[in-house]
Amino acid sequence: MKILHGGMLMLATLTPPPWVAAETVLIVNPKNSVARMPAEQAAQFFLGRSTKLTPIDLADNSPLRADFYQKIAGKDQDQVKAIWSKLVFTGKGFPPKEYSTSTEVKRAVAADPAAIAYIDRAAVDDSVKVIPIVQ
Amino acid sequence: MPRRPSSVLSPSPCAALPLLLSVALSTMAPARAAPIEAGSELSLSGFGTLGLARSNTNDAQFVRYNQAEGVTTGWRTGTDSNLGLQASYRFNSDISATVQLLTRKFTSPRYSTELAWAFLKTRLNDDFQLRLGRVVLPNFIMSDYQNVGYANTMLRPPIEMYGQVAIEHVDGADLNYQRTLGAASLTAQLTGGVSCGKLFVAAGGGALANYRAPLISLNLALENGPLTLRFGHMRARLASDDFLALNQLAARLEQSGYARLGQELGLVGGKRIDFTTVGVIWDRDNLLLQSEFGRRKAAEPVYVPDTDAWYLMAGYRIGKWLPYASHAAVRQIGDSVALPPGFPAAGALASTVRTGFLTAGQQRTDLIGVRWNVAKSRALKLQLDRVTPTAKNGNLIFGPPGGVTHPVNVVGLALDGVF
Repeated sequence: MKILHGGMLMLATLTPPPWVAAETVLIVNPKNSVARMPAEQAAQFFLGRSTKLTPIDLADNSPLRADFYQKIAGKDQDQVKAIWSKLVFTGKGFPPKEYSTSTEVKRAVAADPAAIAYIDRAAVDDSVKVIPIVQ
Repeated sequence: MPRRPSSVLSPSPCAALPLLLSVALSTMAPARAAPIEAGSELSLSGFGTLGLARSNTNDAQFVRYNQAEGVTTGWRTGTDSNLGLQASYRFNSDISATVQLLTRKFTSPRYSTELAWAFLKTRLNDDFQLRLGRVVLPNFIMSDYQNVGYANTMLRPPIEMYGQVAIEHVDGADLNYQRTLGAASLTAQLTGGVSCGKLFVAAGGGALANYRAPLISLNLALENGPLTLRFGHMRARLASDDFLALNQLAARLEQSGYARLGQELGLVGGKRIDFTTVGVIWDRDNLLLQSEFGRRKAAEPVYVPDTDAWYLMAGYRIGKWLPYASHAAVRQIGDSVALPPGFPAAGALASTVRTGFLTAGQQRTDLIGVRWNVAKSRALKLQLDRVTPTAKNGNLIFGPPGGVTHPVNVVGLALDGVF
């Protein structure tokens, strides 16, 4: 039983099941020295509570975007939109810039040492640095 | 009735804004003179609500605070409909300018447009931001975004609580401090300046009084994951020279030998009033709880009654639907005027002073509603209010002299959007 259990776990870790099309990962500029980030801290940047890093979004019809906000803040896109509406119309902040492809997001992150974004793990390359999210 | 053209922008009675903006522009001149950087950009955005409301009585009109016209048994759009247009220009990552125009029915029975926000903002460092110009006061949790229907759960802010302060925007300066402490973030906002505007006085068929209020306000917010705690305090010196009903009462009192009482009740020269509030929000997964308590208390003799107000709202998300319920109440806790010895206990003058001015309209509301995120950036709301006046007409206007003595039901439907 024990061996079988361990084997199933290993299988699950190594090969993602085929119905999982993408895995969202948090990325920053390679110059950023941060090693990992709690989900709550990532949420602070993407929900306008801190301006120390500059968040970058994928287009708002992107399933990666919906998945990312659920992962870091447990919020759907309607809730996120309502939060940014508060900030924008009280002059507290500007919503993250949006790009429609992972390539554009990577280019923007590589160009800005203070940028923070998320893309599909499959799209990661040397131009950006992946930061594990600590739940 | 002849239709008068509505003025696009009513001139500010204190005219402090143009001066402030010119000072702000001159202090930021180096940034203006610098070549426009790559990060500069113009953003145009807006929000709007299409609302319909009606009540089940013609005895009094249901309004938000400081509105000149409300609803009775006929469907009306004016209580909740509005349109906000905003332009922001970012000179660089540190300096920006924002202007917001708001069109709604407020102190006039016609739709009119006002300059709600107009400020220059500069980031002093990672923690501090300074704004100069016109900003909306964040007295209560929703105060500075109460007109952005899409950003709110309920169709309108609780009138009991938000009606305690009619002052909305201030021309002056606003210092924002924001700091993250691990997963928590602390925000402090210190605002000072002069607010100028109009008070709608329903008594005697409806009249407007211009007010001017130098003020200072401090607001603190601590956010940690799903929990937000809030504290706010504002002291304003509210002055009005043309509050007709008050000035007529002062003249009558003077004729009757109570000149001092007339001065104490009135707003001529300005009266200090304090507003204090605490609030809490719990927003995790599907559960949403929000509550506030607010106290209005005069710091020197004035007719404005001392009041306590509070509300508790609970909502539960079910996919795109958010049903909610709320209870709110406002009650009088005292007044700041001591009637002189020998002042009559009954009669017309006594009744005007004691009931007309020194007694607050008090009420409670139970409401249920639902917000439906019907499409991207669009929300549809249906809300049923049951308003029970407990003194005078509560927050209703144009009611009978003895006050509305029965609960009033109000149904509201609204489509909110941001763009």
